[in-house]
Amino acid sequence: MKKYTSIVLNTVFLFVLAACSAAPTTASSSIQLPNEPAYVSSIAGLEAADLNGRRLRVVATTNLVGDLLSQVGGEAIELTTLLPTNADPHSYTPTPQDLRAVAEADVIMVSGFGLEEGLGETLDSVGGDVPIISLSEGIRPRAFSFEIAHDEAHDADHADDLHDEHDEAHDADHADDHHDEHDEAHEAEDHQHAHEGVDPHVWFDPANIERWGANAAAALSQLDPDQAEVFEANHAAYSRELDALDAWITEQVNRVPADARRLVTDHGAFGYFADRYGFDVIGAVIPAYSTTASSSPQDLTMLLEAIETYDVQAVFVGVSVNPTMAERVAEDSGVALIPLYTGSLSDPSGPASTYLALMRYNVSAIVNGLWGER
Amino acid sequence: MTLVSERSTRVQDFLRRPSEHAHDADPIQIEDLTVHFNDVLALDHVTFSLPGGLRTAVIGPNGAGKTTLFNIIAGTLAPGSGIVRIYGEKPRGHVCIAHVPQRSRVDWDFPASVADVVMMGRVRKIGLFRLPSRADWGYVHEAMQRVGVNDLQNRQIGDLSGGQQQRVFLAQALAQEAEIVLMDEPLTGLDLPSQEAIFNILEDLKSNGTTVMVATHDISMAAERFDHVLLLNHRLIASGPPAEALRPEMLLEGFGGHVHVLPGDVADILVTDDCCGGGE
Amino acid sequence: MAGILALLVEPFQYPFMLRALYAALIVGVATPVLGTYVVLRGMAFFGDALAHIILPGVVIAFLLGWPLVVGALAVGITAALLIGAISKHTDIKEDAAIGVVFAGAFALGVALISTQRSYAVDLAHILFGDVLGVSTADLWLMAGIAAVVLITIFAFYKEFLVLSFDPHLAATLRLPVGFLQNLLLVLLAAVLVLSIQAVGVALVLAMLVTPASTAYLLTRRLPVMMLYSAGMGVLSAVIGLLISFYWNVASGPAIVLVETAIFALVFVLAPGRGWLARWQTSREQRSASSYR
Repeated sequence: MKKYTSIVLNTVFLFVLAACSAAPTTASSSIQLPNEPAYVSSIAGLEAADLNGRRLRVVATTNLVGDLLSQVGGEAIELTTLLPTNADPHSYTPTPQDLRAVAEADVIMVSGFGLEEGLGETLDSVGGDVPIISLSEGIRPRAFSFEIAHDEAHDADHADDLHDEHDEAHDADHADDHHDEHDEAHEAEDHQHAHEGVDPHVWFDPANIERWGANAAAALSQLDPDQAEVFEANHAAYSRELDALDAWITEQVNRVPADARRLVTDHGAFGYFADRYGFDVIGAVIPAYSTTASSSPQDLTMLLEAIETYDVQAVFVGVSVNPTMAERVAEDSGVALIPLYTGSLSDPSGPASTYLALMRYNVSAIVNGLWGER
Repeated sequence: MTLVSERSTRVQDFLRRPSEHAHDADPIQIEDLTVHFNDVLALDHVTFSLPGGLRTAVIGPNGAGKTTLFNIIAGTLAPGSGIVRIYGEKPRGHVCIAHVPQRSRVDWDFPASVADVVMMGRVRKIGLFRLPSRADWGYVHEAMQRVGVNDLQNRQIGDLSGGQQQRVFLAQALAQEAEIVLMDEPLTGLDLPSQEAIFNILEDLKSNGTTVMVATHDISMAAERFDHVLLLNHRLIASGPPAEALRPEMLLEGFGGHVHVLPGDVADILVTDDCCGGGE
Repeated sequence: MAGILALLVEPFQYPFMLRALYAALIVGVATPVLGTYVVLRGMAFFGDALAHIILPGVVIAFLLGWPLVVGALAVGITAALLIGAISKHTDIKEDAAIGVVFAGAFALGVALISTQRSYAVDLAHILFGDVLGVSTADLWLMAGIAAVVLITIFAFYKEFLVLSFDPHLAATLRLPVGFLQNLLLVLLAAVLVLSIQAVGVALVLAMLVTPASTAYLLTRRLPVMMLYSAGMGVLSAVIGLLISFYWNVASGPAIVLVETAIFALVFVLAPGRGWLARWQTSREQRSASSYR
């Protein structure tokens, strides 16, 4: 019986690890939003909460969501953010204190597109009737599979083709076309390395944060109509800041020539940024949208080849992610390893304590990493 | 993985030179030895002394404390109280005592050849961080020769017959250069020729002056083949030549209800109703 | 032929695969050799338990910034002593005592990890190994530990032999049984720390037990058994990594699956002791007896 004890213990533990909670979800809203898990309801369906003079209790999952809500909601809401700084949204497990806040909330706001993975299921079952809103409602999601640029790596002639195709892709309407062309080109190839899913890292495009703001203002206004004006005013103010940010980013990015705008990251986090500002994501250490996936040897060899072919200068890795594999990749290819803030804000004393600061920090790091002080 | 005995050899003992044998001391001298195991009295104020070169049978029913006594003499068990002296010194200082286990207690599946097992006896003589020397192999070959397992030397110990297995451990004792050899039920399950072979080796040992103690159930064999008999049932019931120690009244006392005397025409017949168990 | 050779060699032109290979080779030699003792002395459950027990040691060492080996050894030895104490001072049998300490220690390790809100200690990698993420510095340390383990085994070869064959005999021959048991324990903890890196806590038992068990089917000479164990370990490491590379399977499990497959093969086919051989022998015996 001795060995069975070991097997049982390991199996039980695996279940705990793999699924934060496999609890059945309660039926929340009748409308199933596209690209969202079943527990997310639409903003339009929200009803005014019964507040009796108290403030609206809002629970935010990631601290990016929390940051946005504190901008739009301000003092008019009572905000609880679940993820602490430096936590990884893909693999976060809630504490009992977290779940208490969830049970008592008037609304739960998630980042959306399945970013929260297992956490979301838990929120749904603990929250009961509390509506769960995705800030990404209405945003057009990016491509469906993450591939490391590889075919082109073997044929230098195709490097220009790739670049041309990317120019077109900057127009959001062509996002699908771009994807289709890639698909056709690769159809004959073996797609063992393709990783599926909707890219949830919407926040790296300020336009999406603008949409977050609009959604938040709308949702909060429906829940607490008395404060609707406050929410709208805050939203408007923040929009202006987002515009300023966008302008600044565009200016910074233009310092880097188009053919040097290549990113190698730790996982598939920068898709929206790349699309918006004309970058090419050559590859990632974990070619998937989630940090809980792992790198296979094939993935790593393709990445190393891609780095070499495209003369990549730096590998960008999120500070809340285990950097071991990225370190190996950087060492082996002789490039720099540059930390960015991907899934989470920094501590209040750090350089990325708000969304605006985070984007400024990341863009500076990217621009300097790729093009230095030139 | 558990510690094998109540007292395992300590590093200091390992590093210390083996005790000298006091000139005129008896090989085994036991005085008032008492041993408890979890509130059970295993040995009760046992006292005896054995001069050198004697072949002694230790007789008693199962659970009488025979193996415990051997463990004490071999130095692998600490006495509760009493004095135990081997050649005048405490047992644990000596490396010249061999304790041949019951065959049922040995791991015969262990990957070792006859030569390997015999060489084990020399592990202290070889010394730390050294490989066996030519001299060591000499001892081993001579030992195997003397007990007659030389042509089995590369055979797996699990592939041997009962008699051969017993002889291998005797060879080990010889290779160890043991001066006291303790044997636990060595003749159980052996056919007569094999038993004879063992006795021949014991003769050989005796002629060298080696002290031999054999725990056995076989009372008639003890009477015939041994110089001295210890009748043990937690207490030492008798200690002396077989004629003296194995008198019926001694046996009755020693074996309690296990022995029955049947009056017969030629002589009284002694019947024991427990035999050949696993020993304790 | 050249094509096959190219296939075998190609993965290892990538530095990370080459490092993975070195790591797997180091583990594949040291762990199975020590594993022969584990198999012969019936310590498999204890070995598995110790691997899990080491988890909190590794976590604590990591959090304090100490070398992981130190944490592993400290906890491993403490736990072994604890197990001994429990079974000595109560009626609880040794395997239950092991179970108590095993589960408690593992839970402590997981609980500690759960207090870390960042990736800091990556549980998945500890459980399943991270051979692709091994750095050159890691390799030097691993090689050093493996060398010390192998040298120690060689130095104390005859003492460990007697101890493994019969601890009572070892005591009679006045070998320092307690010291040797503890030394073996330290060596075990050391190879576990090595192996956890390659195949993780969940699979380290395989590295310890499977090659040695396979070797036991092939020989009854201890030095040969150790050699075969190391050979299987090395073979499994290479084949496992190749499979991992070409079929995109996780490396640790791939290596263990190869070891298990080799065991199955030998189990069936071993001359004399294999299943096929025994079946044939019994068939011959039956047909011979039917002629009487």
